[in-house]
Amino acid sequence: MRLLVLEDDSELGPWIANGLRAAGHVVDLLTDGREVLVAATMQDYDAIILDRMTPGLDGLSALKAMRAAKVAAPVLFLTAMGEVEDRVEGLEAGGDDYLVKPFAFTELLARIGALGRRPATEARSEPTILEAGDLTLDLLRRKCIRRGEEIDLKATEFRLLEVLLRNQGRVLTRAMLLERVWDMNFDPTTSVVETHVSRLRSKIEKPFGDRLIRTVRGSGYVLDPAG
Amino acid sequence: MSLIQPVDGMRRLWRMAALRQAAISTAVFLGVVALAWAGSFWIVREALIDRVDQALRLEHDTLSRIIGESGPTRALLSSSEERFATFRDEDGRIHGLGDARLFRRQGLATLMAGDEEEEYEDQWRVLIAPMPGGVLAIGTNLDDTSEILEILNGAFLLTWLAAMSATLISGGVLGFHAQRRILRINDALAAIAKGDLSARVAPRRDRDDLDHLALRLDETTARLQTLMQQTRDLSANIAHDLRTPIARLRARLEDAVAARGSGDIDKALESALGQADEVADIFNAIMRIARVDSGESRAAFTPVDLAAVIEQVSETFGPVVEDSGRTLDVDVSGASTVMGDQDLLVQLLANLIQNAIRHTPPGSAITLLGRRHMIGIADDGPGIPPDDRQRVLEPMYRLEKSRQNEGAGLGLALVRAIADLHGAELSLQDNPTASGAGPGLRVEIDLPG
Repeated sequence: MRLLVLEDDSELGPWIANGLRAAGHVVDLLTDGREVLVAATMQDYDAIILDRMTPGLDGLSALKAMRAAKVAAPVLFLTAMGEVEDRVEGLEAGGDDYLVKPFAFTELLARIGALGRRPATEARSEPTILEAGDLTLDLLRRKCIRRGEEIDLKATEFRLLEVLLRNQGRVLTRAMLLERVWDMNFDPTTSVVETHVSRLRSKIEKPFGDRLIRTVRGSGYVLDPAG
Repeated sequence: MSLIQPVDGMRRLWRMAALRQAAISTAVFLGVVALAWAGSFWIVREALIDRVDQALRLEHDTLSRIIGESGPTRALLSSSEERFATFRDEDGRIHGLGDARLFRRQGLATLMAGDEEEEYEDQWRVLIAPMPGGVLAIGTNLDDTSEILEILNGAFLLTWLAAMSATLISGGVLGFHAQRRILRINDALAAIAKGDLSARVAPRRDRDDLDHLALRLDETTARLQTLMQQTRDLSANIAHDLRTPIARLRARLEDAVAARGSGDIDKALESALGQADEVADIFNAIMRIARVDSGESRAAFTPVDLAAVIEQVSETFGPVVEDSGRTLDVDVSGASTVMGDQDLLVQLLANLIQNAIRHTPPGSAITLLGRRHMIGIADDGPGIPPDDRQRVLEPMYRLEKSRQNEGAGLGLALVRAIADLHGAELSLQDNPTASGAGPGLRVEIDLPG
């Protein structure tokens, strides 16, 4: 992916850029919000990563200006401003995701991965049936069917499976699942995600004797019917 | 200097609001009494003269008739210290006291007349009016009227003096009293401004708005003192509680440096990362408590269905509790809607569940509670001794002084902060329905309806 990173910290910036390059991305690292604004309007990026407190123009203002200039690239905020209000502000300004420092690099990679392959236009109609191999999830009739067998899922399990299916092949971290399935922006410290994933597995994998959800050690989960 | 000081003193006195108000109201009151005095004097005087005038007219009529019938006899036209009557006939001859000057004008008038030798003058009311055959002037001494008016004046002066002393004394005393109370408040505020948050006005009773003000001020100062104390404790605790994981982090990194080239380096580094995450987690928890304590999110309160909150929490954490070898039941009846922050209320219950898992033995029963405006949790674990109940709600407090139970002691502090934010009553007590070995713990959060 072609990525644009705004980060003015002289240590974190190169560290992020190098890490992303090592993961196979093409990265432009800038330290000034105004330069980012120019770069984003001149070139097409697959995703843009913005710090919020930067010289010249802060990340939030840069994003607002970009959205006003019809730059549609998905944006991830990577910032030390971690209050709920900051997060809401960032998402309302047109941000697609929000990650607070300090962070694990795997978390950043996973979130960028989830961003990049999002449909470019919102116009595409949302599918009502999600599929992965021989598993079908009917969102309208609230039904989960595998190999012709209907599987009885609880509401939370259904939502968890839906989020995994929508992000097939992409790693979803614990924090991402907490946000997207449970709408929780805090870490409950108990093993909420692990427990529910394990319950889901016992219903959609165990009776069929195979693996759909892969655990990525130290990172999260990925639904991968091929694997 | 000695010349300036009294002026300065007066100015200072004038700047005392209560005394100044007393002085102003006294002056206004005395002014009004003086006006009433002048007004009454004028009204009474007019009324008295009116009566005299009526008497004069009556006498004039009678005397005119008698003189017309029997002529201007000396007996009729006699004069005394009290009255006189003088007649001028058509030929201009004067009968009785006085001379022609008296008849220069006609009608009712008040004249000064007296004995030049004895050097006294009296006020006379005279009526000079024509009658058949001449002009008749009669007069009466206003001595009586003057006397009545003097008595009236005396009475009013007495009243005025009495009122003046009464208002001056009462105004002064009340004003001085109020002023002293204001000065007390002022002194307390001055001490607080200097940084002495233990200063209090401490009014002796709650009788009026000034006492009320003083009490409010004391409450505010007490709250401020608590907050300052908490901030001080919190910073001390942050330092203390972050030092441990930072020390561990450092130790792990040192291990890693020492283990360069050997296989142990992976373990040491992974463990160091874990410690770094714990530092970040503790820091996040502290920031979250601080943010909730600031009360900012109160502006974003929305109606929250308590039953839905409990439903969401039990659905999310039920499997977690079960996997830990305990049971999670829901006991909801008649839970209603309150104004609040749903996310924070969910976190409150999540923290209570987490706390219950951490502090009860496997096999324990945990119950989520929901009543009208109350949410809570009950377990049948070992409970908390009454003496420790208040302190477990403070940041960083852990019942076990040892570090065997991991997890920062911030969970219950956040519960306390969220309850405070909602203006809720938070109570810890033994669980009366506990069936286990211990007394159990029942935590109730009573939200305002």
